[in-house]
Amino acid sequence: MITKVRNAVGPIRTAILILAKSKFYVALAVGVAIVFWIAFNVLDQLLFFFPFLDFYLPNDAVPTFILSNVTAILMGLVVSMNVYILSSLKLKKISASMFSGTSLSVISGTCASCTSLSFLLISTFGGVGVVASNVLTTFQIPLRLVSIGLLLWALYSTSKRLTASCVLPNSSEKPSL
Amino acid sequence: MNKSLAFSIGAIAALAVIGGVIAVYLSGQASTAPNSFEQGPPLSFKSLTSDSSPAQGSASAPVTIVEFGDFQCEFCARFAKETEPQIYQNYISTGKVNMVFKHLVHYGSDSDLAASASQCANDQMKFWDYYHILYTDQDSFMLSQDTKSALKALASRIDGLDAEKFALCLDGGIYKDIARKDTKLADSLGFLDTPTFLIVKSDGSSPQTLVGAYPFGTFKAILDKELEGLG
Repeated sequence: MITKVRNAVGPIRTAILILAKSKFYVALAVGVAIVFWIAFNVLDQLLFFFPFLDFYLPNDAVPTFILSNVTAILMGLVVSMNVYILSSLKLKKISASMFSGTSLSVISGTCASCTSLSFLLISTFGGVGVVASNVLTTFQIPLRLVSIGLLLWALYSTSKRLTASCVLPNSSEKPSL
Repeated sequence: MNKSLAFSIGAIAALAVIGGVIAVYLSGQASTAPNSFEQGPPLSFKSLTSDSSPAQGSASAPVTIVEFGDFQCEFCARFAKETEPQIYQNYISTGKVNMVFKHLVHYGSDSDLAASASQCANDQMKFWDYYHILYTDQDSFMLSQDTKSALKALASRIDGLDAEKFALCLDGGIYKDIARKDTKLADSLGFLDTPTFLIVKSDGSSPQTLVGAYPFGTFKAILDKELEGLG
């Protein structure tokens, strides 16, 4: 039981340790989270910049809003941790699940039937486009949950790489920037 | 700067650019910009409603909102549930604004069928009741194996609607081409997305477009400005 709890808390603890190392990683995590928060909320038609800055949260959008917040925060953490790995371990490979998680979030964040994406899909792929457009719309929330799962996996695997390679032996070590 | 750091910064920049491009792309679509429709079709309330397009509000209202929508569109449903009732209460029922609905469908035969059904309801002056029922209970016809029956079942909920007459109209395919005709108008105006709103003065002048399910506050700001200009 204790091991299970430790495994679950481990990646978050690792992320906190990294963020505590330098303001750069905090700024990076916050910056990435903000960029994606804005992108998701514009795609969800909750945030508008023109003609006036306006934000609203209708009842039907609450579940997707919560999921997009979680995705944006996870994106910030995962990107920050991956940058730390790259700068500390001199590795050139970013977790693949981070990219798939991001792509899924963005795609599922677009209401396919309401934007030009549907027009593009249908005009380009005909019947297959209609099906794709239907799937994106109908399974918007499950797709977002899958993307969160992928990002959690990315967080876990990144954390595992950090602890396994002893990059985080103590908090006094400076990252090689 | 070592290679790893350069790569990581590049990767983040790429992610940020992707997010930014999407955001800016959609924000650009969701903008009000005075469009020049001088060469396009007439956009006065009279001409917009001459082909049995559903309308609500006083015909003499100084400002007209034209909604281009699809009954299968999620964001159109959000507008119908959240924003339209507030516009109705504050502007349409007070005679300041009228509203016209045009079909903009590119989402398959069910959208065409729902458009036809809504026109059948319009024949009995029940379009706006049906509009709200369709958007409130979108899944019931979108997920149905028999869309026509589902549309009839939804229509039967409207008080005062003659279900038999509605069924005859829908089965007879009286309005089977209306969605295509409206969509052609939308194409000619360069509208692709739903919902798209066109806000014009009653004579069709000074058109502005809003693309997206904007909140009431945005409509209020635009409508107040338009009405203020009219004294």
